[in-house]
Amino acid sequence: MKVRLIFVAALSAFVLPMSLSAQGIADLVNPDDIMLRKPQPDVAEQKAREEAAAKAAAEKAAAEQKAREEAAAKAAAEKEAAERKARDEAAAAERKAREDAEALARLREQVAAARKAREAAEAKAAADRQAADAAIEQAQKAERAKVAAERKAERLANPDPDERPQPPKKTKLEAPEQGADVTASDVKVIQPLRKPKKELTGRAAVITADRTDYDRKEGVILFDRNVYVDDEQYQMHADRLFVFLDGTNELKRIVALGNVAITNELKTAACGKAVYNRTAQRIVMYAENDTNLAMLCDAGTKKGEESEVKGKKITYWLDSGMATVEGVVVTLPGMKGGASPKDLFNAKPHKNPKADDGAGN
Amino acid sequence: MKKFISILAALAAFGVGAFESEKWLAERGDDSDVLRLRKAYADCTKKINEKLEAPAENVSIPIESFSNGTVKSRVTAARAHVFADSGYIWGEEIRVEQYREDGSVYASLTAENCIVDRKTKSGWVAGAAQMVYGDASVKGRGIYFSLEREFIKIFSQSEIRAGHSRLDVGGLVK
Repeated sequence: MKVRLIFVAALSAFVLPMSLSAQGIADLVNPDDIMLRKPQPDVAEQKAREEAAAKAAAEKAAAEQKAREEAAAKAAAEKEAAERKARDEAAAAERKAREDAEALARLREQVAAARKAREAAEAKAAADRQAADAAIEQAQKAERAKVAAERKAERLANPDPDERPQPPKKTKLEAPEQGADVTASDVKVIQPLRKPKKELTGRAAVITADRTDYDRKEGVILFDRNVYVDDEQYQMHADRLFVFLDGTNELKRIVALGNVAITNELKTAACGKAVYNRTAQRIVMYAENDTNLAMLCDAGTKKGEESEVKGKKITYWLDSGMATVEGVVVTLPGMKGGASPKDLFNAKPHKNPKADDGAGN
Repeated sequence: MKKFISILAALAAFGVGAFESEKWLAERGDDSDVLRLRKAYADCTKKINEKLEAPAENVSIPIESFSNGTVKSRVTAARAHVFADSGYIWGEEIRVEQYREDGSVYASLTAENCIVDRKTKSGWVAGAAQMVYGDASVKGRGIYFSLEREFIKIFSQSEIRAGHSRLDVGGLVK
């Protein structure tokens, strides 16, 4: 305050004498008034302060606004990301569920189709068997009637019983001793030339396996693990199956390995390895080992006609129906369990005379 | 000596033409390319799901050609993502066709989805696929194929329907 008063006094002393007379100054300026007058506020400073305050407030508001906006944007981005993630997860789950459902449906269809096919095949096989049995029975009946008629005619033509022609005596086979299997090497056995009665529809063979490799350049197809061949004429199981094709992709050779089993209504074959050569029309079956021999079994046309051949190596010619067996064990029709070597040549198990001629050769 | 050399030459000539099962099985056992494609399939699927890009539709891409310029094999897909950097084609409702030189189709593969590597001309089908080759048809799940090596591996549920060139060993049990 003191400083201000001094400043005002000095100003008065300097400025006023220049414009006012001494009287005027005396009239106008009272030192007491000067002493009592309140100090005037500094306008520029005040304005600057206000401006600074306003600026600070504006900056603060802007910063707050910016922070709010950033927080809002971040929250929106996070929300969007979460929603997107949820969408993706939902889409993935939906896709997986759809795939699972489709896979299940496919599996069901396959199972149903397989069951239906098996049932149809069984029904057809049963019908075929019945038809074959009926046909055989009818043929036998006709044969018996024919023989009876011939005998009657003979009797009528020649009443003297001693001069009548006698029917050929049947060869009686004696049962071998228990466990007395017959073995020989390089024994030729003629298999009956029996054909299946059923008509073939020409349906495609279906081969299934766990894994398959096809090499077109080499012409090799490998079916691996749980191999099953379902052909119209036969079914085959094996652990592994090689199919070799020639240059024109025609079948050349098949090699089945491990637990090989080939079967149909009339025959069954089992071995450790089987090799089929198409050109030679020949199948060679090898024993798994010394105890598990290769086996070819004929079910016969009726009960009691089963025959079985076992050996270390069985070669079967498809065109002639002839088989060569090495390291052989043979069971003749109706004699499952073994027979003597002599019986191989004495027995006439089949009516087909051609078969007997072949045995002689 | 001369006779011995001629026998050796004959044996060597036979060996060249004969099928070497051990070598073949060893090569068949090498699944490194299969594993590479399976990984690529998973990576591509992940990328597609992350980007959520719309696939190209009704795509047809030739893979290899004959020397005269005609297409030897082609990939067509209802929807496909083409990865230009890696050369992979990831397709849905895909069909891979192989042609003869006269332009006729001799083999085709159809699958729900599949990845094809244009560089190695090989592919992997994770799900189910069906192939038709002549009058034979092949089905399976998890299928690897190499167009260049003419090799197919079916890893699960393989089923082949043979046509006229059937496995006629049925004579054994006729």
